Amino acid sequence: MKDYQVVIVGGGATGVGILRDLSMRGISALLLEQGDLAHGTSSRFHGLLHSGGRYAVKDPQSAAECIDENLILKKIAPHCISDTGGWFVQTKDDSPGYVEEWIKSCAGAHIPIREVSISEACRKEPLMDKNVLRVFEVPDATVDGFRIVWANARSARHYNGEFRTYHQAERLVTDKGQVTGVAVRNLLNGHQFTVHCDIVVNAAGAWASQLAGSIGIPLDVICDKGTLLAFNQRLFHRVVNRLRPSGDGDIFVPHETITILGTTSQFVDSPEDNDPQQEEVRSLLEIGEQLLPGIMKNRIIRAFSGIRPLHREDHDVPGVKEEGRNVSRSFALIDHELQDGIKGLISIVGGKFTTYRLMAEKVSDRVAEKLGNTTPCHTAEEDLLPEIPEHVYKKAARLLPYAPVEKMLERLQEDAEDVLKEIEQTPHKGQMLCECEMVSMAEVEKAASDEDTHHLADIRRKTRLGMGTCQGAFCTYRALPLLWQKKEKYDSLDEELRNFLNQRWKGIRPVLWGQQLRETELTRAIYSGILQFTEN
Amino acid sequence: MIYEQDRTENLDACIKCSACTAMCPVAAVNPLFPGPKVLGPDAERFRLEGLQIGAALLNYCSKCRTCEITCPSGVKITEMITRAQENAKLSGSGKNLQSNIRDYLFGRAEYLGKLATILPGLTNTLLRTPLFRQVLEQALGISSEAPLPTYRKKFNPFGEGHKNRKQVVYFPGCFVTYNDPPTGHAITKVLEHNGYEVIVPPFHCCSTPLEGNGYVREAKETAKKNLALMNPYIRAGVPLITGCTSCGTALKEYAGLDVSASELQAYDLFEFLWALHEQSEFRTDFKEVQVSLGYHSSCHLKAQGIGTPSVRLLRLIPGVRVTDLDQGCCGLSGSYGFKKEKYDTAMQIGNPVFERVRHGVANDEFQSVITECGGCQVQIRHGSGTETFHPVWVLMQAYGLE
Amino acid sequence: MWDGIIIGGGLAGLTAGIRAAERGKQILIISEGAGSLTYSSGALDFGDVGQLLSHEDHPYALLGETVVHAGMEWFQNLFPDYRGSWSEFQEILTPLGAPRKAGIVPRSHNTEPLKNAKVIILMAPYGLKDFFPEIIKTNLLKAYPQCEVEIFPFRTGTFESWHTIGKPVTGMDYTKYWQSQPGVSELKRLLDSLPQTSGETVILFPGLAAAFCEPLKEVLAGTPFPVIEMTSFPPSACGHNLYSALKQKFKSLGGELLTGTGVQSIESHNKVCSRAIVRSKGRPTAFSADSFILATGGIFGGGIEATADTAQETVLGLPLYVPAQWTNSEFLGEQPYARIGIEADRELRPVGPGGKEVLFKNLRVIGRMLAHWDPWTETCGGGVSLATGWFAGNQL
Repeated sequence: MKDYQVVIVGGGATGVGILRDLSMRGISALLLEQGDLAHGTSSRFHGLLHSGGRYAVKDPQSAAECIDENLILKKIAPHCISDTGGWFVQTKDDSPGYVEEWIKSCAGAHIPIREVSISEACRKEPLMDKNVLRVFEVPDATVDGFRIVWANARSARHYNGEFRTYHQAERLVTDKGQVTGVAVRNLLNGHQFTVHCDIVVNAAGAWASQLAGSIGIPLDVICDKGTLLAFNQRLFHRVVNRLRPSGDGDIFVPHETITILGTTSQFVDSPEDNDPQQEEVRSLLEIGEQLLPGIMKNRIIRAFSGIRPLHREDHDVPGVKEEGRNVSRSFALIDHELQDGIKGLISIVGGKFTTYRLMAEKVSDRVAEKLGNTTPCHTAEEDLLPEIPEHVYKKAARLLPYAPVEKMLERLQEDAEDVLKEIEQTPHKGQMLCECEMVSMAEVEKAASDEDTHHLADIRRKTRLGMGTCQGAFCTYRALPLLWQKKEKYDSLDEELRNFLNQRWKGIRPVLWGQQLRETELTRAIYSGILQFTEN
Repeated sequence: MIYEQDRTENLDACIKCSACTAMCPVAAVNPLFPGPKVLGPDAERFRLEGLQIGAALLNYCSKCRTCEITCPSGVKITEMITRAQENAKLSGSGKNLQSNIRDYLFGRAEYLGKLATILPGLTNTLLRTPLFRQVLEQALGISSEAPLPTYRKKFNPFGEGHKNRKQVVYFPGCFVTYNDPPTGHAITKVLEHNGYEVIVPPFHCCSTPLEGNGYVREAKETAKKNLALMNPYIRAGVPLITGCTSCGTALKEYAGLDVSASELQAYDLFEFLWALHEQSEFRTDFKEVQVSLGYHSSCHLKAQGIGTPSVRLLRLIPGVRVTDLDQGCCGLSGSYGFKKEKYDTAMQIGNPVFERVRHGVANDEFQSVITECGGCQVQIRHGSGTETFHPVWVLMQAYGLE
Repeated sequence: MWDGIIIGGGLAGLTAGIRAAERGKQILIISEGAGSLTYSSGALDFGDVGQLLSHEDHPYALLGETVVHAGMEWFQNLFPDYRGSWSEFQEILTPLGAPRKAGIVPRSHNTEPLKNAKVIILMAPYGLKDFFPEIIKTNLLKAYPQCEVEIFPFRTGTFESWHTIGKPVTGMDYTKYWQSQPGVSELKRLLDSLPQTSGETVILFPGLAAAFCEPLKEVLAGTPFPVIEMTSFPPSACGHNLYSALKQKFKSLGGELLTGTGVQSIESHNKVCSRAIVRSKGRPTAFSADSFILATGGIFGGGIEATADTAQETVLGLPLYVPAQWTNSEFLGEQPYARIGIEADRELRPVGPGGKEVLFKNLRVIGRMLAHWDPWTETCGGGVSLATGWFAGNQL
């Protein structure tokens, strides 16, 4: 007896992309995610929507995929994307030979580039080093990983796709050499059960080899840790890349109110091994200094790390020490029936955020073929999110005269009208609960009451609460009554608060100097001094 | 580039403590004004993303700079708001025609003054005529209740003409020039009494009103015109003195325009006199003056970061007792309190000052109030009904110059 | 020109300034912002004085028991609106209504009356920001199980226009209103309208801050039931009122307070400081004095700036104690960075590495600038500021 035709394991961009694609083809599917959607790599990267420029020389196939997907996503998901444009910048340390090769490769991959004069560049990006040699414009953009994941999930739900968060796929269930389901544990209440299906799609990213390993199938996924820095404000107006073979600390991405500098690359043993280290911070800043002189003076609000799951097909090759960047960033679709003789299991590993939709399309094509479904893929044509109506914009602007309402509406989507109604009825709920990121009380309340929300961190991802300058100094306290009202859903308030502060602290510790250290003193004054949480 | 880096560091310095909003006199009384934190550093991070935040509310800021004085992190909040205001003005959002015309006029106090002092008697009669004030309110949004200052025959600096080896340039400012020439003469006499020749070039407005009404670019142009007039004196090392604290703040901010901070020797009058005193060059042959005074420190004096030199100096005079009122902003903030939609706010802001003054007078703590700022004088007189004047008059009395 | 210049106008700096001015000294305080009292609860914490005295490097130990006690007693005599002493803890409520210990507290904060109460009426001013009555009620029931807790919501006309557009009304806003003439009358009416129950009812009133406000104290003294206050989330009116009271006290003694800007450097010769150079508008201003006190508030106050590699004292570049490892993973636990500061001798004069050489003869270091203490794990912020400030002001 089958519960679903397909079970997808992993609620990152690829997983929800597959859920949406399959659901649109009328295939019944359930997605299982051990945490919150996008809690892993999909929300722990620099937020760049690649133009392909970064891969043009080394990996032309990836580059071509990137530019195609870049254009598709800008069309179907404009509310998740900020079309900032991007620059590739040659400094005096970067080889002119590489520049010429890059220009040719971009043409080959059909990536449109335009050379920008140095005077124009300096005018448009006044903080950028004045001594750069050449500047090229490319159609890079920035993307909100979390929002796009949720947009996929919501769209999938519209087509009857289902997903369960905080549900861990403990192991695959097999019958006569065929995968027939997944043994699941509900992490919120400990309940265990089995879901039966025709096909399991393993889209667990950095955790993919663990799932395959549960039935003894080898799947070599390298955990490549990438550490990034979040600066307190937008230092550049557009994405700024170094025009050289990609390396640590050579890309700045203006993201929402902050700027992200990335990314290091270091192999680690486990996907949980994602504590940013001081040495990584140093290495990022040293290289970042070349594009942004005086970088040490700019306030860093936190460091964070994500794990890139890279696929290495030939797992017998020695040299685990090879650098993550030299392993293909392209993805691999593994049909375990062909590779290992096990039916009913497909793994998708590697790839990058920009091409999540394409990966989902390829997987779904293969799944559909196996299930005998002939409906073609439509995910590149149908908008991920509906337009936000003009009257909603107007109402929001009227009710919240000093808030960035565009951003609020983009986050809230179809929940916007409910939240605005709440503010209209109870005006004080229009107050900013998170003042740094300007998130209203009503919006946080909505996120807190959402059935998929179980922790303060889930609210953070949905609303940006605690992600700004103060890193939770004020808003953690202000979120307490909302959690308290739903107390059966959350751990004890004390514990929830402590966990949240400790999570924020993990990212602050490696960048603890300057103003962020003062901020930390203020935060400790509030929670240890005034609220006396230390005594408990 | 240096400017851009300063701007970036300044925004980074905010640790979101909210002290600025807690101390903001406007936010405390006007529900429409969300406060300096929101419209300053909070909104600034979004403005960098190209979003207009609270454009229509920026004009409620009175530019009193209490936020900047309070901020434990040295964030230039008023500057941020002023810049946002100008950008909003350039992009045409957040204002109507009437307030545009009015702010245009108030920004140009100098021209208003020139016009009004052609026939000061007529101007004053008109300004005291309720019907005319109704017309002003309806047509231009200038509050009919506001204490618009009296205009007098324009300050004529070339009366005394003492030649001396020691020279100072005196910047009278619009208030002295058009509304209070006697104080200008008093300041001149005190400086001359201390052995200085007082030079008064035909200065323009200091530019504070332009900036206060959101005309940042024109403010800079005016400043440059004044600097051109000062230039020969600056090069000769002649100090520049003003008795008005708003002018003083503006003049000191000229540093960095066409002149370096070390070249520009701009002083508040009492700051200058105190410096003389420290070098034992200040005359202290005072007569006893039996008087008790309440001292109001104007916001723009606080913004200069020089303390309260007038209190220090007046306390040297036998018989003078000075009580620091310590009550924050009087509410007027230049032309802010003259505006129809802001008059009530301004009066509420000033209320603690007025109450303190009334209480002090009723309890015989002091008889009258002194403050360097002409605007504060007008407002405190209006709000408390107590005689309020420039502290230089106490010196005049002590020197027997009156 | 001045007898003493104090750099920093927080609790420690003002304490030193008042103490010195009381002794007839001409004092100038130069203060960058409004100090950090506004972010404090308004209650002063001493920590476990006896135990901290035994920590070799702790500021308490530098000064010794007698001085520490003297500073605390001095404060209590200065402000009768506060109560408490070094010898016994006072119990007060956090902004979430949980009891906590403190040293010297505003009289109206002491929870004594709750011990025997049967009914607690929790006043809930409409729209008060950062005030969560339901959570407070839960905490009160936990702490005082013999009590019933009633939440008494009310609104005042003054803030109606704020409520209509949803503008936050902070504790500071409410306090300003209660301290005005119409506020006092309304408060009286409001308290009179409460049910007249037996002596076992206690009113818990947030956002009031009655200390230092005579008319308010009068109203509260006239009620048939005890009215107590709780500390509030920052910026806190209680902390701010204490700041204002200290400021006024200092000014009334003839002291001058220069706010809004900081000291960029101090000139010195032969280990003697002579002039403070102030970062005033346009051009620096110099102020001369016989003695100096450094009370620039540590990391939070800006007296210490940390870079990725090290930490620096910002006015004189004094050497600092800096631990090798700065942090631990438990955020609210012990964090070694908190002990960064200047090492001083028993006269609070800064000393060089090794602790022998006095770096400046006429400079004393007080409050958060001193090394080897942590106000958050040792809860002794108020005590250290009072003791060191009092001592420095007394010696000046």
